Amino acid sequence: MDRGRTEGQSIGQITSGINQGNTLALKTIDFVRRQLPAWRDDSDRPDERSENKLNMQLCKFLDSYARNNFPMVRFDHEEYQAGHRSVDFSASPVKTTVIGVRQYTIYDPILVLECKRLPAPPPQDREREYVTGGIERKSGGFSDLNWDFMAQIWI
Amino acid sequence: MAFRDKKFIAYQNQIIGIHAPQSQISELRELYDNIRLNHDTYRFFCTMHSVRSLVSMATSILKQDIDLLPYPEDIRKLSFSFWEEALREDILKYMTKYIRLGQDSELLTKAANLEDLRDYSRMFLRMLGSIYDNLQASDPVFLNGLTCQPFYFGERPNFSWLEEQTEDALQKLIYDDEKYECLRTIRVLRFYSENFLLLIKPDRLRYWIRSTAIRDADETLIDLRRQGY
Repeated sequence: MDRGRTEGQSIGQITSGINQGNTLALKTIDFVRRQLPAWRDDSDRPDERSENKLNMQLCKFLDSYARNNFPMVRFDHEEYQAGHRSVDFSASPVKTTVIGVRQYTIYDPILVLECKRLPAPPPQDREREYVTGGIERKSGGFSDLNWDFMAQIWI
Repeated sequence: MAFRDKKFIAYQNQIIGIHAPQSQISELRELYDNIRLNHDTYRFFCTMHSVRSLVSMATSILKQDIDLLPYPEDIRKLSFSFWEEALREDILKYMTKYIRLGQDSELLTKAANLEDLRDYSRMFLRMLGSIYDNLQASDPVFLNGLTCQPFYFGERPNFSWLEEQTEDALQKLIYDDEKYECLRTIRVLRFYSENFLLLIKPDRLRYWIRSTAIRDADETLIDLRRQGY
């Protein structure tokens, strides 16, 4: 009797108890923030100066640590955007999900993260550009970045 | 599996031996210890990849399956995360028998009991609780042929009304016999209201093992994101 087709169905809506909208994206940002000191102090981590290599290290560290401690999300390095743009890494759900009117797949992250190295390599005014540029990109200065959430990490 | 370092040994073609000269006996012992220590993981690999096990034979494997087993220099790389371990254990304990025995397997003959539901809830909470940290489980409710596992966010609601509800409506929701004549569709129902979530499914063990909790957590996450959380 139980070998028929199984399908999931959901009814209703949670209206209280979860205090924060967009909890998944915000918790992901919080998870990343909490792992930064552990990544910085990881004795197995090779010493690197290149921003790209540091990004890759951090992404691998987060993905590895998330397996046990943040298992609903995985991290990928170099998420390509529209045109020639890419973000440093991204957080994605572990399976296909429909959010709003849009279907997110494992290839389609729910949060993108950009990393910037400090102190910035010359010219020194890049640090100002990190802030203003990042905000402009998110607030519509570059309309190809179509994300509800975007985080910038200074490493 | 056995280790032997003295005298000659002969065996038939269905037994595989790994030999080393006396000078490498410590490495052979280490290999044996590591395989024994990770026996479940190696059984899992064989079950997943073998072209014989669960295909033409129930449990028998080929030498080729042994040759393909991973053996990293750092054996810790074979370690699984907690949810991967749960998948491994469910596959070895339940799914292989489910494939071989079908309706007669434990997954379909046995109803999930309180302890099974506790294991299920713990896994569900560990997965989804990593994001929604005030998520908690309440005691399951056993209905006639159905089981309802309540979860709630924050303050515990009163679930006493659950046992007073007529079961017919739920039976109809879970078992859809009207849509197609020849196909019975079994629904896994997730019901959300106020600050609680009810998971309602048939009472068979198949629906309440830990690997199912992982899938249900994934699907609940999708629902909660859709609801703006």
